[in-house]
Amino acid sequence: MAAAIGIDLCSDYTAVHIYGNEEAVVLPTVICRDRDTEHFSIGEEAYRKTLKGDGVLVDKLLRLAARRGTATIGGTCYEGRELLSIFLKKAVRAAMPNPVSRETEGAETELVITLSGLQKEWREAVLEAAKGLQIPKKHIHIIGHTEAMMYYVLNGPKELYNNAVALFNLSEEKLFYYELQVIRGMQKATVLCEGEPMDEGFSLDILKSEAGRKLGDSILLGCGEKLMAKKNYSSVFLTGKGFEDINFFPQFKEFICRRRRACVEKGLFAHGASTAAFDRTRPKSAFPYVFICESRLGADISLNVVTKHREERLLLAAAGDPWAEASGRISLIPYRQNYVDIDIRPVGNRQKPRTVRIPLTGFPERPDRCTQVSLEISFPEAHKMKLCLRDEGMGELFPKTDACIYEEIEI
Amino acid sequence: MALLLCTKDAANPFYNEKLDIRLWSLPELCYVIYNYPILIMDDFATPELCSWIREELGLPFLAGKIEQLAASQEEERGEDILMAILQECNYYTQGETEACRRRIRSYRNCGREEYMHALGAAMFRLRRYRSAYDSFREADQAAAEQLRKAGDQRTASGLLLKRAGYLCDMASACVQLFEEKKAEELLLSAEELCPTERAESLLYLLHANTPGAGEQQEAPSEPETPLTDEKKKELDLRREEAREKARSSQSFQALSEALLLDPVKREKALGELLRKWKKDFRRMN
Repeated sequence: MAAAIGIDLCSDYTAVHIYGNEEAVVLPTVICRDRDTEHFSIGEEAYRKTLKGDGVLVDKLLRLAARRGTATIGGTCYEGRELLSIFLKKAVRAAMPNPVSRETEGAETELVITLSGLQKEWREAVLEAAKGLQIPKKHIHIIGHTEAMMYYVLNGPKELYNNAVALFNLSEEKLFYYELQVIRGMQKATVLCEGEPMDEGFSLDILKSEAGRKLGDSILLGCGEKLMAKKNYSSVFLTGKGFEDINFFPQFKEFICRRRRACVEKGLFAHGASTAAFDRTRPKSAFPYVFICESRLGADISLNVVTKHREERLLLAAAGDPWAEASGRISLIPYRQNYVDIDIRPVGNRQKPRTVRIPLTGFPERPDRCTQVSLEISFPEAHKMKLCLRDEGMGELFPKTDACIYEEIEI
Repeated sequence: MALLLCTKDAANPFYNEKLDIRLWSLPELCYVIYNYPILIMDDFATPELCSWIREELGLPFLAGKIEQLAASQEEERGEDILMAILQECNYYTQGETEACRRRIRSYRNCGREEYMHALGAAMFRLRRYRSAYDSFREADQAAAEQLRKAGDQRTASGLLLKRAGYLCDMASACVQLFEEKKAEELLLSAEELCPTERAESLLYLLHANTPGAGEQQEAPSEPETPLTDEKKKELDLRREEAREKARSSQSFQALSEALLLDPVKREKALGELLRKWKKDFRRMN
């Protein structure tokens, strides 16, 4: 049976959830190598060994891997991505307690890793490190926390998301706020999810004292009242190390429980990621929604073309497509025009549709319909589209030139 | 105004001997049918073409239709085959496809002189200048034959004008083959037969472009249709525009860049350019 694994990989903590299991395994994102051998430990065990003096600890693995850093332990230089790969392998094994499950590891496994940021260097580092898990590349996907939240919430009872859904994530690094809303009444139901780091955050060390806990409570209450004043919320979720004991924040707890469901979920994003992984094992998705979030496109990208003597709209990329995987190439022949018009139609009624005209400047002059133009699109991030228009000429009749136009468009 | 969506290109090209071109896609095939139907009106639907359309372009229905038409005894099956291909692709409009059909019919119904001239024009557009020259010469010979039989002055005048035009066309082909002296002789013959502004203009451009051309000849008699100063200015402007276009062409850029390289790389780059030009010239010839 295919296994579905979700990993929430953060700088300080990593959560691993196997779909079908009750709880996620949460451990610090640290690795320790024994002083005298090549044996590695991770998480709390790594801390213990380091404290005893038996090993050397390396933390901030994600950042180390992203900037292609190295760490020297016992005279051996390790690449950051190599250490991250070892960490991920051990973390997945730790989440699979059943020896039988371990045997199916790697067999038709779908893996989804969720990150708080989707910068190119982070994604590349994680994809490279994930190779060590021996899962085929096409079965490894990276999503943002907003998408993981979507899968987690939508997998639950409908009454949880009749109205808006709020999520607070309190970690060592920061306080994050996320908001999810299902928009009905469109052609296909659309789910919008956005998140942002809050300026108001605090170090979790202050929670060790009563005064610190009171301060933390008032900060959280202030944030909650400010952010949730204008909408109706069906539910509020809390996740992250900071909410391990919600009783530290009595006022905030009372506020979020007022006329709505509230829930603390330790590895919420890992749960959501494993749900996303499991959904991918199905022939058809169980979530018939258009997802709009940081890891998905927020607009339909199309252009009008003529095919079989009929004009029709050709969709280059659809709203809700994962932008990191959305790329394509088509060939066109301009007829009585020396430009290409790209239509951008945002969904969710948040912006007006618009058309971007790209003139074929620098392309050689030829008789009409004797220039084939190849159009390639890709998305370096959620709100940017990279376009490349190349002159392909027309075979031996009109040889191609080096003429090429690059454009970056905000979407 | 529109963007035509292209179908997939073939992994292997289709080669037609008459056109001497390798075709890689359906739009290219439509282009040569529309622009050079006189070269492929007959015997175009070969098994190789059908196989290419079926396997390389992934259009088994069209290939089957062509095979069916080719097997029929219809007199217009040649045209029908070409029209079937044009209609399959949205490269040409319905009106353009019909215009192409009418052109093909006119080639079938016209006399030898018009046919050879149209063939020469197609060859010239394909840069097959030697073949173009031969076709124009045949057209001229056919016109000369008619001229000998012509009874009235009016018919004779018309034929002389045509012949002058054919000689100009032959001269144009010779210039493309770097045979300027022969071109000059042809243009002077054209002038003798029937003075035209076209022949005079071509002579003017030929002398302007070829240093020393015309100097060794005896001083020609004053042309009956001398070019006006305004006309000469217009021709000079066209010549400059052509030069400017040539300077910004890819070939010229490639030559300029090659000359700036270090000796070893320069020799290699110039060698490649020379090979390309030789291949082009053989094709033109």
